[in-house]
Amino acid sequence: MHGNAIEIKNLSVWYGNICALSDINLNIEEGDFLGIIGPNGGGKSTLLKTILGLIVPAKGTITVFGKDPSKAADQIGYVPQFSTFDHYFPANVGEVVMMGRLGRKSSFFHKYDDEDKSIVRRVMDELEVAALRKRQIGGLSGGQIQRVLIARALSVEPRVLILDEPTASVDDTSKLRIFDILKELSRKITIIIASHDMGAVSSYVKNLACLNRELHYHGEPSIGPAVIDRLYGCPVDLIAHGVPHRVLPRHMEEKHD
Amino acid sequence: MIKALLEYNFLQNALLASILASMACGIIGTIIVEKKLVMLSGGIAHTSFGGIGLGYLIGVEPIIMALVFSVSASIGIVTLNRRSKTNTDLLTGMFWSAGMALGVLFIAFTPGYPPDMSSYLFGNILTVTRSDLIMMLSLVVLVTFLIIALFNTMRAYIFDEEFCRVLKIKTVLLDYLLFILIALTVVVLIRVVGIILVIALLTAPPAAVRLFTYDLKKIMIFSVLAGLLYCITGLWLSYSLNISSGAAIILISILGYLASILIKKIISSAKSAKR
Repeated sequence: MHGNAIEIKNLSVWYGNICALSDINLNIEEGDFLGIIGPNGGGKSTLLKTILGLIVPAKGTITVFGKDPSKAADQIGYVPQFSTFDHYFPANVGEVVMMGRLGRKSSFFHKYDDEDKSIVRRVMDELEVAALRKRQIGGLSGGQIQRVLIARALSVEPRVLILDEPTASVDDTSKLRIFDILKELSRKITIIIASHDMGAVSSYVKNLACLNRELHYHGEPSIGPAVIDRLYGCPVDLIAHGVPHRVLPRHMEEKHD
Repeated sequence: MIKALLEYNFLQNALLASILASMACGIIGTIIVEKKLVMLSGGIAHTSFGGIGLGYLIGVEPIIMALVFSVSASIGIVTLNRRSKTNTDLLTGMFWSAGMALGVLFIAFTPGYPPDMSSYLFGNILTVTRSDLIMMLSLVVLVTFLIIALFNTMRAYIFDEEFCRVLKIKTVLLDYLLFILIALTVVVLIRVVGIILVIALLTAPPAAVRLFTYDLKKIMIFSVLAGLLYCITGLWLSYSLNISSGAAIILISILGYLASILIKKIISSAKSAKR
C-alpha cells in the first residue's frame, strides 16, 4: 500500500512568459489524503491539470503509478471546479454519473453494459445521490452537484481521486458532509484536493502541500506561521470557519485521526 | 394544396427538402444550442457565400463550392483556434465577413450578366431540384448516422469537454467532426432558407423544445418534428400567398418559439394554481 501513487520531479509549467509552477518536487504516497493549499493563482489547478495530463509541463517529469499521465486515464478520477460546465445542460444525474464509464470504450454505437450500470448504482449509493437519479442537474443544490461530480469521478473506478476546489460554492453543512465522505473514501483510495479553504482542509487531510508557484511545504497539516507567511506573503487568519477544528499548532492534539 | 402536391413535381421536391432539412437542423441544431455554437454556425454559413461566388466564377455547381467553403471554414476555425489560441468568437467574425467579401468579389469577376443571388441568401424551397435533393439526402444520412453512432460520447463532450479530455477521449477529433457536421447541415439548409436565415431554423426548434424536456435525445427528436411543422407551414404559406419561402419558414419558426414560451408560462401557472 505504500508505493508512490504520483511522483513529480523538477516540474515547471509556463503560460507564455508567466511561470505558473517552478521546480516542484513532490511524491504522493498511495493511500495519502493530500490537501493542496495556497493563494488564488498559486498554481493549484495547474498542478492538478498537469497530473491529469491536461497540461504538458515545460520541464520535469510526472508519473502516475509509474506511467505517463496521458496513459493513466483509468487510474484517475477528476472532480472539476464548480463552474466548468453548463448547469442547464439537458442531462439528469444518472446520465452525468454514467459519463465516468465512457473511458476508452467510446467507439461507434457505444452502449453502457451491465457492469457499467452496477458500478454507477454502487457509487451513487455511496455518495447518497441515488434518489436524485432522474433529476436534472440544473435543479440541484451546490452540495448535491458536488456529490454527483464526485460520483461521476468514482465511476471511473480510479486509484486516485483529484478534486479542484470541491467546496468553493457550497454551504457549510454540505461542506462538512463532502469532507466526511472524502475522509471515508480516503481509506480505500488516494485523494488529492486543492482548496483555498485552508481551515476545513487542514482538519481532514493526512498531509498538506502549500503551493505558491513553488512548493513551500509538504508534510503533516500542522504548519507554523512562518510557512503561512511565505505562502501568502502576510499573516493569515487561521481560524476555521464553520469547522470544529483549528489548524494552529497548539490545537493539533485535539485532532482525531 | 394536396391536389397541387400530387400534380406538381416542384412541390413534391419542396416537401422532401422540408423533411431532410428538418432532420439535419433538429439534430445538429440541438447540439449547436447546447454547446453554444450559434454564432460559429452563422460564421460557417456566411463563409459558404464565398463558395457560391467562386462556383459561378469557375462554372462549378455553386452549392458544391459552398460545401467546400463551409467545410474548409470549419477546419480552419478549429485549427486556428488550437494553434494560435485565438478565441473562436473572433475567428468566427473574420471568417463570416471574409466569406461574404470573397463571394461579392467572385461574382463581380464573373463575366456576363450577374446571377441572382437571392435564392442562396434567402433560400427558395420551391426551386429545389432533383440533384439538390440527392445531395441533401446523402448529407442528412451522414449527419444522422454519425450522431446516432457517437451519441453517448457526443453528449459527454457537449456537456463537459474537460472531463472527456481527462478520460482521454479524443476531443480534438470531436471538435473537427462536429464543426464539419455543422458545415454539412448549413449546406443542406441553404436551398431551403438561405445563408442569412439559416441560424433561425437551426436554433428556433431546439430552443422551443428544450423548454419542455431536459432529455437530449427527446430534444433532438421533437426539434426534428417542430422543424418539419415550421417548414411545411412555411412552404404552404409561400405557395398559397406567393411569398418568399425562406422568410415564411423563419417567421413561422420564430412565432413557434414565442408560442412555446407562452404555452410554457400557461402550463407552469396552471401547475402552481393547483398547489
